[in-house]
Amino acid sequence: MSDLRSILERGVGSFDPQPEGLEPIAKRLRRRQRNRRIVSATIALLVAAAGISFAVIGLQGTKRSPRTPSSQVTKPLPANGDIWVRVGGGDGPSFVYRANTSTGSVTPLWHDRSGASLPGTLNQSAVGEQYAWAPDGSQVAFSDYTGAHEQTAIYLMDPAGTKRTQLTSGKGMASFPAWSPDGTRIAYASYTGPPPPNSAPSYDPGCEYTPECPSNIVVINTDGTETTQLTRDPIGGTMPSWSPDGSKIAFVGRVGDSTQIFVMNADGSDVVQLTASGRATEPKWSPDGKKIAFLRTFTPSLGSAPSLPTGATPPVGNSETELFVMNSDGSGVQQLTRVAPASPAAVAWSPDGTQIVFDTNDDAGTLTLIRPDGVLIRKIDVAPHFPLGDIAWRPVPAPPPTTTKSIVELPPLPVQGIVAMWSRPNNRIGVSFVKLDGHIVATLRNFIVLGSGPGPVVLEEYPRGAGAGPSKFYVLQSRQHRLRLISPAQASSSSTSRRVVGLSTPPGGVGRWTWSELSPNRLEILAQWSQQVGECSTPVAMLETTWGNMLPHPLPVVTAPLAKASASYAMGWTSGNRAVIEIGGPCGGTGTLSDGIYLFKGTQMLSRVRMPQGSYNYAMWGG
Amino acid sequence: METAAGSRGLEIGDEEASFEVFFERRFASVARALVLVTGDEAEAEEVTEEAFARAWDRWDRVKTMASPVGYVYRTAVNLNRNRVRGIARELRRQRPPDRLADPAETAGDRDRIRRALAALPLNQREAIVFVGLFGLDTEEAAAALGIKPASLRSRLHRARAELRKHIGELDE
Repeated sequence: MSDLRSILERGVGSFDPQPEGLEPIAKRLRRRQRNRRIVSATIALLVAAAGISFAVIGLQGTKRSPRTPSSQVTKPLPANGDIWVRVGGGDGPSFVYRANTSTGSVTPLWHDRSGASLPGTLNQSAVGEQYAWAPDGSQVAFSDYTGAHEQTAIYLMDPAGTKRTQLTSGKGMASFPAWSPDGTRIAYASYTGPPPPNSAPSYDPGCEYTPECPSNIVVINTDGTETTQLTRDPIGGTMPSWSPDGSKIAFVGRVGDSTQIFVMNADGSDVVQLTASGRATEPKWSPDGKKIAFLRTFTPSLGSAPSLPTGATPPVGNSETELFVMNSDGSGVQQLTRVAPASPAAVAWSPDGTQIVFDTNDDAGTLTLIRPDGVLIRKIDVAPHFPLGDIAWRPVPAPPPTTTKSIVELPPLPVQGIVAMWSRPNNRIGVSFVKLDGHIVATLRNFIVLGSGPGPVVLEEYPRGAGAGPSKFYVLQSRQHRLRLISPAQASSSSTSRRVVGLSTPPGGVGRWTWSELSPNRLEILAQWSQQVGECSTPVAMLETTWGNMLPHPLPVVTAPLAKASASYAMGWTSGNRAVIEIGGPCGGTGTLSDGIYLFKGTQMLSRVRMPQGSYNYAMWGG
Repeated sequence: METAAGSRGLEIGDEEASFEVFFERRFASVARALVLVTGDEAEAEEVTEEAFARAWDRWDRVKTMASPVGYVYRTAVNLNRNRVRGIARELRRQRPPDRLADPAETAGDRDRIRRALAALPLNQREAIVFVGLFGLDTEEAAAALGIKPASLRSRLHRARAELRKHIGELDE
């Protein structure tokens, strides 16, 4: 026997909506505040504003488009796996820990060649520094000493540490590996000059900040072939970070005694300097490609930090390093942290782009997870009393679509209704099954409506996730409350079917009839005609008829209000002899009625059917 | 706004004082409860977002309340009521119980429970979710719903009886 709470929780199921930032709430708030101001305006102004608003909504949709435009659906981001973080270093031993961001648990994994070890760490495959996960999370790249004096190389290793291969060879130092988003190449910083003075034994690979170690960025295939140098002196380059689309690389270049963030094309062309003040390092491109996080150090000689927030502790000493984020074109620089007198040591984006993690070089031994706008999410204690270093957040590829079955069960559906396709922010798309009174019966995410108007309702399950297969097509079997898998060919023929009859010439004698259907009481015909080639001039007419003598008779009352809508579509009849008509689409917005689904009784418009937010493509079942 | 930048030590202070933290922490739980009231996930998210927007609009006052999240729950439930009222013939929307009993239409445990809840009148649905899932006692739930405790108990009793018919595993 279950108690009430557990039953209710089972009813909730796995539904666990995560807020996508405050922006949707802020939008609603702005709308509320705007509405309050509008209340004092005239009704005429209200009507005009609504017309504009619906026109904008109408423009979002692609009426009768066989697919959603590709711009609406982008490759989904991977999920967040564990964070690997380096602990210790400098003059002491260093270890690699794995932190679980869900539970906060921390596990030591590897230790370096210094001989120190911790319970559970493995010593046979010492891990160097500057880890970078492959886009699919299957391998980690890092920089480590080769054994030769002051010589480092890029290595690849599986997460278990059993397969470790040296990727780069040759003299000098290879450091700061960064995988291309397609996983086929690695960019890294290469320095082939003499070892810098006073480098051993505490020298960190990479020479990242010092003019003594002028490195350049080199790209190499992950099979070890085709090494290409991308940057040139005097700017040079280190700490590369690929844009998510693989077209650009952000990196650190030298500017006088300082370093700044630059961006270049992935072939090394078109170098653009993004930052100019302080000393900027550690550029990390956000998974959505819009932002670049970076560290910036201010010293008296490099400029002063922005004014401190009230109550903040002023920096101790002469320099202060903080975490910043900027748009990928260098605009909109925003400071995210105030951790002085400590300094952020490393920074990484979560693979899903919702979080930024950083650590500090003091002895806090803590990872701090924040949102991209700086709001603190949580802290994870990794190794108190130790400084932390490099961070690599492992991506977990998005799972392939789960729908491989031939039947998708739905809740009980009414005899008639409308499937509405919608799109919402963050690439959320789906369909809702709506009763004619506006009640939503069921919602499926990642489905779109193929074909619309009368005829079979055909849906496409849009492939999502890495490795997603081809689209799957389903036909709605409303009486069985389910979707049934059909072949793409069947989908193509079904979605274009039209019940076309020829009656007489359309009103005005222009164009041709494209579809018509007798009402259940056989007293009227709902008919659609096209006046011109193209969809933007397709009106709907209601015709009176007498059974057995189908003499069409256009009713001007209906055509009058619809004539000003630049497009309308007959969807079908309800069992109560109400005509369902869609008005709008990409050509909409100029008529007297807002885009949407309307019910007509005879020639009178009864009501507008409330559809889900953001919906624009419809199909009717049971019509 | 509580940010990492503004908090050396990075401790979050009074969580109810920051709307952003409040929103981050409470959004999912409110939406999860509302899905049982609305019967639809998209609708639940929509009324939840609107309720949080209204709380934000008057956050200075809401944050001083004994239970800011209670305010959001109440607002969301009221928004849902208004939504339901605005739909023509919504009072007829409950599906016939005989259809619910058909195992062929069962698409899983979750949907079975949601459909059983959807068959309840709205006021019974609200009552059982406020008490059963929000965890309010009958006095608190009655106050939140603006009814007398006796009415709430009556609604609860009827709701439990109906649910038991369709789910069959509910104890008094």
